[in-house]
Amino acid sequence: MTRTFAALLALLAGAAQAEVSGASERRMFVEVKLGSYLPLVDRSFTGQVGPYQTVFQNAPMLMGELELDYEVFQKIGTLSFGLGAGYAEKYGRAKAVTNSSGVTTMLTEAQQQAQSTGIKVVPIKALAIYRFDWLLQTFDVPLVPFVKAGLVVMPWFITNGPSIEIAEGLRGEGVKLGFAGTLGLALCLDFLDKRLARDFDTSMGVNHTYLFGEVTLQEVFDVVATGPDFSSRHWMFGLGLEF
Amino acid sequence: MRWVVLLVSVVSTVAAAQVAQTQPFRVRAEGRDTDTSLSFGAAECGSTLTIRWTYQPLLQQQVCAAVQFWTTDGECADAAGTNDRRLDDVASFLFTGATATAPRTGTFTVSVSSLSGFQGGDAGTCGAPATTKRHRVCGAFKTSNTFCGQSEYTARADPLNLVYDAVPPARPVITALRVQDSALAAEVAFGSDDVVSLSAEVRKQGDASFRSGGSTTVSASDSSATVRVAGLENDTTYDVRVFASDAVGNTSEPSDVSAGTPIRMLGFFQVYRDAGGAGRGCAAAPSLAGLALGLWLLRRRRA
Repeated sequence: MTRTFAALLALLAGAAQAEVSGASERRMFVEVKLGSYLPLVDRSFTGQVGPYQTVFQNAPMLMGELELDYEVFQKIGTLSFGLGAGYAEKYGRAKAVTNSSGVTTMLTEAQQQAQSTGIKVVPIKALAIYRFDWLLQTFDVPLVPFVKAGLVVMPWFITNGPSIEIAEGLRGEGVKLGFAGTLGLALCLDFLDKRLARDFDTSMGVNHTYLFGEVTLQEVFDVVATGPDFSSRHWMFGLGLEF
Repeated sequence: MRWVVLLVSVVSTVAAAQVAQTQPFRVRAEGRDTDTSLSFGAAECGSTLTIRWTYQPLLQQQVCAAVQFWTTDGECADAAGTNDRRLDDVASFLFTGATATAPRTGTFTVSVSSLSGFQGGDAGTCGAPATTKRHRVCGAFKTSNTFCGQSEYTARADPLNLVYDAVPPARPVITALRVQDSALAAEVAFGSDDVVSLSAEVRKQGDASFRSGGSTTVSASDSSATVRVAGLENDTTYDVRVFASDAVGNTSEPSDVSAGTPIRMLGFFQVYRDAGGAGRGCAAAPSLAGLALGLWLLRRRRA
């Protein structure tokens, strides 16, 4: 029984190797992804309504991200190093005013529509990525789990009206530095049409096409200027091409 | 022999018809080859316009007379009328050359003040106020595809329209005056008379005179826009009025005055700091740079 199973496994592996033997060399991986990004600004404001909730009603930002990886190891899974850059912004309405007497009052509906305030963040990441694609390469199993870890540099900007907000003499902009860890699962789409996938490789050099989802834990700290906490736990979904 | 004459006649007639349909003879303002119409305001009466004529013959055309150029208040005809103003004539030899299809081109000038629309204004202006008048720069020459004197026809230049426009845009309307931090934003509706910009004037309520308060450009498809007046004092009431201007510098009557009071508005950063954000949460966390410096100092002390 064991022998039969081993022989079957060897046969499958051989067939799979033959299947991919004509494939072009794999060097790079590019990802384009979108996700919902909710910064943890309010997590330290326990027992009260936090500023993010006050201004943005705790609504998440839409974040877009582009990542490019270079593959350095392809024996058991694939190890890569990559760079990623993203962008997210969120706009809300000013909620309160202070008149010359120092009295803070709520704005009227019309006044609230008059001026917006916003957050813009630009997370830039240097990452090490491991994709366990041995099963895909060997047995044609289309699921590829992956893990990423790296450093994050995150410039941030807060606007009030058309310009950067200045509060108590401090400009609402700075840079955060931190780390990020990501777990994800990718579905290789080649099984949907193997002939088309092969043609895509032959004509464009794209070995595999993936749809993937990933969850990221991101902790960032102040480096330049003191600002809100833009750490997060967020999901992203996207399209990946290995070429 | 009759058949030959008839055939030549038919061919020349067809060729003439083709030339008439695709006449590559035109006049345009220098440097503005694609504009078939130019507008001028009353302030531009002293300007001189350089006109470039171009002629690209498609066939072996005989030029049978000097080429005429003129300006008219009406439509371009085969020759200048008695009320039209003759411009430079171009000798026929300039239109003929060693290479039959080689392009010919040249320039002449038109003094804008010589156009009738730019005359008859009051002292200090060169044209009648609040009027629009169209003029055309025309060109034509007698030509034949066989021999001059046989099957001659007139080739007209594709004309250039010159429009005197002293009609100001309609008064704009301030539909809303939004209160902002040290600013007021006027939402303005305006007519479709080629408005290219809106400008605002502002004064403290009670002051006699207005001062300039900002402007914005608009595109041809717009019918409303926002003009922001910045640099105002919060908690002070201001009067704002808006003017619309067209492409040739005509400015409308001012809109009705709207009043507003800028107030201090708190953006997210101020809300965050007012909530104590500056000294807690991420702000309270040690920065990585500070942490690295502390570790380095600690190692130096131990060493």
